[in-house]
Amino acid sequence: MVLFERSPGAAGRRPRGATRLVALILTVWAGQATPVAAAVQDYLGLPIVEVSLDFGGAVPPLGVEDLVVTRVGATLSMAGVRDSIWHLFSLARFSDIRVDASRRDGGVALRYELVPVRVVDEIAFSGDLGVSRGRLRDAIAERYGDRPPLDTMADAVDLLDNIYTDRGYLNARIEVTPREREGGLTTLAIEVAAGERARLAAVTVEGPALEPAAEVLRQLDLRSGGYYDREAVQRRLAEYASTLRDQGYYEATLGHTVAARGRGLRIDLAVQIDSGPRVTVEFQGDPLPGEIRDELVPVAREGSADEDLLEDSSRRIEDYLRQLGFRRAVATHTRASADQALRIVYQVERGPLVRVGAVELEGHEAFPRAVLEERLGIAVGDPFVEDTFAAGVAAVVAAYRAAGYPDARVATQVVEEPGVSGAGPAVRVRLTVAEGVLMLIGSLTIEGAPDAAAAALEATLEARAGNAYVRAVALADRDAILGQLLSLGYESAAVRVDATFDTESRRADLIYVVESGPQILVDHILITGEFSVSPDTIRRELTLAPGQPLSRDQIAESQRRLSALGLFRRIRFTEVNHVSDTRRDVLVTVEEGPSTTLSYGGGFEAGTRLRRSGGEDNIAVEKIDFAPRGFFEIGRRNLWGKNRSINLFTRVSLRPATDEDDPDGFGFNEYRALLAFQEPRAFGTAAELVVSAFIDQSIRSSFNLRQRGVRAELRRALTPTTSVSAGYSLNEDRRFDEQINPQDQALIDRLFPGVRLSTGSGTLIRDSRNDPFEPVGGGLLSVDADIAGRAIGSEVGFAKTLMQGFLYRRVPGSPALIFATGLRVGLATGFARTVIVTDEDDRSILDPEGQPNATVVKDLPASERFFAGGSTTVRGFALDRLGDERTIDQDGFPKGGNGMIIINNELRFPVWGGVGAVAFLDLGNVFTRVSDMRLGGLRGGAGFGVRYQSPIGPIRVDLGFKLDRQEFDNGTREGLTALHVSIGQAF
Amino acid sequence: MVMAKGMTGARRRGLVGWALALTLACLAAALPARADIIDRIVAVVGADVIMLSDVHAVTTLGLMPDAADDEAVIARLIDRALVLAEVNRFIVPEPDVDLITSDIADVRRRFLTSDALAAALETVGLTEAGLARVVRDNRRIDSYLSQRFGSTVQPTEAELAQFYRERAGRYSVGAELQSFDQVREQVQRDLQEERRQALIADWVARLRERVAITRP
Repeated sequence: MVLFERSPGAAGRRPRGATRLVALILTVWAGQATPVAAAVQDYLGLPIVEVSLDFGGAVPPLGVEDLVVTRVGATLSMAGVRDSIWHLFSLARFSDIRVDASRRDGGVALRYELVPVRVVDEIAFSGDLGVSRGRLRDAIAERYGDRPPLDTMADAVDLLDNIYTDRGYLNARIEVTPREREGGLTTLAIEVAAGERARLAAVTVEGPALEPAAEVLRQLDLRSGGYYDREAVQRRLAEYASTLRDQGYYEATLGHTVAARGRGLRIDLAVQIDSGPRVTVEFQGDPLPGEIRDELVPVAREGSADEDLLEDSSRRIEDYLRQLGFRRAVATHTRASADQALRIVYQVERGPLVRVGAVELEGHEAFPRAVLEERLGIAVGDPFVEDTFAAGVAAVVAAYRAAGYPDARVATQVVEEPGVSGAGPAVRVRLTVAEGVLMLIGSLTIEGAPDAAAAALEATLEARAGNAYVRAVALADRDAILGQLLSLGYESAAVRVDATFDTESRRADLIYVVESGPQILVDHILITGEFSVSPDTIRRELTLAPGQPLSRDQIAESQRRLSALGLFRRIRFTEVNHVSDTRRDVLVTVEEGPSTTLSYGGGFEAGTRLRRSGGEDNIAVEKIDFAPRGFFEIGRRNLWGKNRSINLFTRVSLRPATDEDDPDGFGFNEYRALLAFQEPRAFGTAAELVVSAFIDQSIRSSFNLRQRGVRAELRRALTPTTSVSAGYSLNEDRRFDEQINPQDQALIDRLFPGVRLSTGSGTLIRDSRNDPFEPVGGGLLSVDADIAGRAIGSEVGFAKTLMQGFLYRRVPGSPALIFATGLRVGLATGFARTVIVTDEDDRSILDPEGQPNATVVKDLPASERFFAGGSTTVRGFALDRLGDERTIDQDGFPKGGNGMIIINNELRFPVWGGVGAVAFLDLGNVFTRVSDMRLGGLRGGAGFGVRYQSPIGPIRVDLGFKLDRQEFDNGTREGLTALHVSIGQAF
Repeated sequence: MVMAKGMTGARRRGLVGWALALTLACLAAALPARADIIDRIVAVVGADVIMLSDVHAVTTLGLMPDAADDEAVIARLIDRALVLAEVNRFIVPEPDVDLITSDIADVRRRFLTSDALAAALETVGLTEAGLARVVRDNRRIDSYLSQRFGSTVQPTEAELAQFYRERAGRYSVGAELQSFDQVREQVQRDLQEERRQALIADWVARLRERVAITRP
């Protein structure tokens, strides 16, 4: 209406009714067609009757509706709209978000229009590239990531142009065209016409070079007519600079500039060299050990002869000498420049060596002199070192404070006296202790704690009323309270401890004053960055939840759990504060790793192998085998977005032939192929399912074994340290190349050279080791139980269990010493089975009455029996060779047994750097039957070993000695020692 | 005859008009109700987002009185987001509570009643606590800029004199130009402030190059 009143068309004439109606409709229509950003007030406070999300045809992210806080039924608030936009934006899935409002049914209908981000997941190169596709692709991935949003790649042409320019393609034409595909994905089509690559024209050397220009250019491999490659030129310049520094030109600087000409087809290149002065460092006066001069005066390492560095070096020399007892050591330096040379001379005057002449202690009652002397750490005759003395005095004071003397003080006096009878000067040190009063804690109070947290805070206190007051404990309690508050979301919490002392009653009252600040709660949890991993998989690992305190501990735990999935390259938690001071969104940003993993490797392995000696004896002898081996592994993670994975592992080693006549040939090949499918949280539970199939061929001490089978196992962690598992396996084991003397061979082995085993198993593990590879605390307990029965498809039945316990402790008083001990007990019994005895041609052997000869077997097949001896069991023995006349055959080959005991004791200690040593005592044996097991039958091995912490793990060399050597039935005697080389600790 | 058989031209035009009007009315009824954009993203600065309601908040609350229009406000908000991201990377002293209270009081004075302020805040999706956060961040930005760009090189006498000559109008009282000696301290302050602002502008320009800024 207003429009018409002001319309020029209305002048002098009143619009007719129909015209007015048309105008009115047009006005309304115009209003519909062009939404205006206004009239927010018109909608505020109205009930929301509808909320719709328009994704522009894209697939909506899972659970996105939950992020919209303007819900139907609530009244409209702009805070809610803003909050919703923030949540949706944080997903990084939308490049634009608009919120429309319209009146409907007495309320307001909201429509969120979400414009999806176009993700570039594919790059297609075409044309004359000139530069390798891999190089271009890597540069793009490095700059923008693997799946960048299209709108962040505006400068992709510039990036590529720089690459071409740096490679000498000065006339390259690059066109980048995005091609949209289904599902919000985009292919970036990059068409390149690299053109002709420029060649170097004039190549010159500028600056004071040490060598003729031609020689410099030869070393830099730069010549007229060659191609220009910026990276290669810079690399060669860096190498040349390194050679100059090796000659003493520590301050040498090199660079290069280029200029194009000839329509970009020729490049003039100029190398700038400033070799700087040749620096020499000399030492005069008292000598310094050659090996530490470079450490004290690091001119070469730092590539600088800067005055600050030289002054620091003087101080380092003085400190070094003072640490040796030359308390008046002085080092000065001079520098002289002449003819492109800089001569630096250090004058070292170390002065006399000062020793400790006497240590006097007085005023001490709480501690005997011996204790304080040990704390002080200096003794008469030692070189006197100021720093060591100061640290010792501080240790004495700390001892008093830790014993409840908060006001303890130590006054010191150091008097240097000239030496007598040719001896050097000595100092007499005197410590006068003022112990003060022993304070006991009277009361402990926490003030200002939030009511809900008070009990938890009190539980964190280590200090107790009646205990001696120790300030360090009080401060630790303060920190523990603060940590607890932070874990409860009080991020601005502050805690201080106030102590009041009453010296008459010797009472200390402690008040922990808490200023908790507001508790921060989690508002929403937003997940972004995932594209193939399901958000549910991520959410399941989060220990944070909306409405709960925003706890630093829970963020760290969530991050740890997500990392443990192995699916992500990076995981970042960000707190987003946009609505309230006390509620925050937690934005979880992940960057997925590659779904396919591939690894392979190869090398040689060396190990001892039991063989027959040949000749008349033909007994078991150990020979060292060298075998090439390799492995290949390929895996696919995150199947169907659910963190399921499938892996194929294969390994093969080519063992030398056992045929003595063909020592260079390869005879028996060991191999293993394992295909495993893994599903965490199988069947909606917290358990992990592993299903695997394998084929395996391996060398055992007394036979070779070929196995194939399938296995299914369900594992579940009950606590962070305790887990259980249950499984079923179906194996087919076939032994061959039997070495056990036929006269000693168990009946079951003769009857079942190949056997099908159907086995159910269960395992309980409690692992509290602080480090699975180098434990120095905690322990490992495990119980495995297997049962195989004919009722479930096994050809033979048995029950078997292996119980293991290991404990690791630091030796009290010598924390560098680690004591490790372990006990392993294996028990097994076979289920009786009657079998018909057959001959070599598989024909039944008949008894005198013409009936098939039947017999009862009650043994375990050889592949399931226990063996012991070797680098991880009893180290005085070679692999599997621990036993007695009942478990070792007459030729010295092990037969195994149904019972096993192994006891290990080891003392581990560091020696130097990454080298350590151990001393060990192992006991154990293998028994034919469980009923034969007795402690008196154990055999021992003792010895020592060396450990080296290499990048691939601790390399271990152990030499074990048998404590009781035995003779075999054939008259030969066991060797005294066994040498073991392997990786990782023995247990 | 013609008259008898049919309508006059005027009546015919009237009928056509009504028919057109009815047709349009039907069309209009078929269209959805009018929809207003009540909020949207106007710019993305790194990981931060600027909404239309932010722009409205600035204009409604008078937080940038010298910004000419919405585009100018958006440009200033982008700069503010860039600078604030830098400020948040460092430990900046927490502004005095009295200063924040004073700034909020300045905003409050622009409204006749508390209810009017509350209504204005509601239309832009802010609460008083949210407003306090905004002014607190403004103070933190000022504090950071003072720390980083607070001291500039002392200008020489020649530079002061040149500055005075080039901006003589600024130092006139009525029609009378004050002498250089009379306004020397003022000239020095102005020159240093101008240099400081130039440094800040240069720094912000470099931030703009470093951070991805998109306008949907």
